[in-house]
Amino acid sequence: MAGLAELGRKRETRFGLLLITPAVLIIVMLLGYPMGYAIFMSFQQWNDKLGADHRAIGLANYEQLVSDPAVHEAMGLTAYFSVITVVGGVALAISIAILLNRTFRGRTIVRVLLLVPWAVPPVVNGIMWKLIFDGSVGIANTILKSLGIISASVQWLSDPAATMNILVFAETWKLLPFLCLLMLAALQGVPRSLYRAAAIDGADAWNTFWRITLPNIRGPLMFALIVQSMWSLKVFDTIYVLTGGSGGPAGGTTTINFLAYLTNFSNLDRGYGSAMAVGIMILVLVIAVFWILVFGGFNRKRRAADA
Amino acid sequence: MAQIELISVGKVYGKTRRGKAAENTVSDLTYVIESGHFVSLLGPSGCGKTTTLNMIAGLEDVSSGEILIDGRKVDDLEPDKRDLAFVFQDYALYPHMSVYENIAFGLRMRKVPKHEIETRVSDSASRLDIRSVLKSKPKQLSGGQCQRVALARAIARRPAVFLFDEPLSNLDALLRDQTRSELKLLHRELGATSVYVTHDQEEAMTLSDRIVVMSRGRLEQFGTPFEIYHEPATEFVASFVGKPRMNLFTALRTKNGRYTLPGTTFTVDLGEIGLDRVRVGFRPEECELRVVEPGTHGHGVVRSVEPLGNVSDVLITLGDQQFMVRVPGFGTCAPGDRVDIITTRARIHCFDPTTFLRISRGRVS
Repeated sequence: MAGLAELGRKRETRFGLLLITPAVLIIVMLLGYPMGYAIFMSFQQWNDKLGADHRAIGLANYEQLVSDPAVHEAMGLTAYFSVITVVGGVALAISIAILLNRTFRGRTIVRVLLLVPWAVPPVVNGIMWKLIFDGSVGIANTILKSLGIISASVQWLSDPAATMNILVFAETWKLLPFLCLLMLAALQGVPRSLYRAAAIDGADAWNTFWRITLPNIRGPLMFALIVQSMWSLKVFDTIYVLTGGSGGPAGGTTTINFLAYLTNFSNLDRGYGSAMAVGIMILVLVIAVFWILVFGGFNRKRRAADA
Repeated sequence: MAQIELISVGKVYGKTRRGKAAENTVSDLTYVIESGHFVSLLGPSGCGKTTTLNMIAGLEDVSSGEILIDGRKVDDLEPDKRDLAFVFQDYALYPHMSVYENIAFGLRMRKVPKHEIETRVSDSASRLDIRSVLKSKPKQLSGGQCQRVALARAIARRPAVFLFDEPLSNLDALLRDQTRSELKLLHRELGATSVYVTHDQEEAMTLSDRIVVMSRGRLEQFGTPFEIYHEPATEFVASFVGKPRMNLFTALRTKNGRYTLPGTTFTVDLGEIGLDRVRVGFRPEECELRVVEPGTHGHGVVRSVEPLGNVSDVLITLGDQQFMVRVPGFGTCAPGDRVDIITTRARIHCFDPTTFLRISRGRVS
């Protein structure tokens, strides 16, 4: 009988494998092949401007990557953009989620309204903010002028720093709904009785948040930080639309991912651009591991303190 | 030690919960829980007993009336300023903290010195026999252990008042009985005022100095277990307390002081109470049965016999009523037997059929 059961299990496994084969094939074709090809290209001297022939040059592209001042600058901008959107975005999302988790009149409507930015396609989001901050016809100037905060129109999108901040703002506006929703779901998973117990135990709002709420949404919080770090590192569409595909002004919004795009598709330096893309992938992995370690380590430290 | 005083306390929920609001509303509760007493709030689900407990704890606002603890109005005090501990139905242990941390949390929040926290935690842990699991997380514990941790957390705080919200309802039957006895001992040792919400009359009877019986947000009776059982103030209390349920039926006056159950020969002498119709109640265990001589009708017919070992519950059809009698041992009757119900030993409970209030009368045999 045991043999028969095993036979059945084997058949089931085989059937399961058969079922996932199409999905695996598509993933390999659409993800695995380009990724592998990019890694292959990153070891080549491959610039389409210089002609069709290319040769293997080992790690030369990566050496250039480490020493290139353009990369350093782009990394600096990426760090600025990512720290604000990840840390600020997630913190803001938690705050909003906590407010939305309270009972108040019209809560459902507010929750629905929260999702509106999410429904806006990324390109439309970029165009929208570009129009709002337009130097001559933008509503931002009109409002600020009528409020008396500025006297003359500001060319927002001509100033590198201002453009960067508008980019941060536009991205945060776009990503908040998802993060809020994630955090709201996490908050709703915290049993209400814990808050009641904390109230009886005399924990004030601050202690309740740090000692009850936060530890109990640790998993979703880690997920939000990882996902948002990933998105922030590879931000592209908003920059493209906001700056007309230039990453400007004066490279002011050229984050590392946008630099990889420019290198690859404007300079046609496929080899170096691919090396950059691979570098970004490694960076994303490192940061994901970093978050896991931060949260896992937090956990371990607690356990050690308890012992 | 603290005395808790409720003065026409009421609770009205917002209109948002249509239909449900009326059920959950608590109204006009007035009673005094004496210092050191163990008081149960007893009633069916939805009667407002948990709402009342939450109002005492400060977890819910009082809509009307006021609550005094030791003579001090507490309506505006935060829960943690009321010097009370709460044991929740689902224990509400902090899942990310060890058992030690769980017990210590309330003390930490109150800025108790560290060495004092240690003594208190280990003291309450050894009292409840959970020293060995102090380092575990709640997830690793069994239901009974979680219950003990929740109790230890309450004890470690050394509050003036303990509030329990159906703390035993998540335990299996055996553990429940055991924990119940332990709770009673614990209360005797600590002597703190305790308010205990339950829908289980056995728990209420065994643990309490006083019982508050509630139904539909109203106070039905506040009294000792003896009073609740033997002198139920309303028909609701009479039918809710006691197992098996009290036999209650409407009797009609036939002649002076004599009432009969319509369609039967079963009569009861109530004396002069001035009502044509009256609700009459008998406890099943206070009645006796006698199988009648063949050929006579008797009061009714035995429908079924449910032996429980030490006693048997005999269900009798009496006209169109069911009547339960609890007889010793396995009993002597069988289904189909014609029997007389003898109520000479039984306390007769009478209730007004319109107000459902107890009718007090002189002793009637």
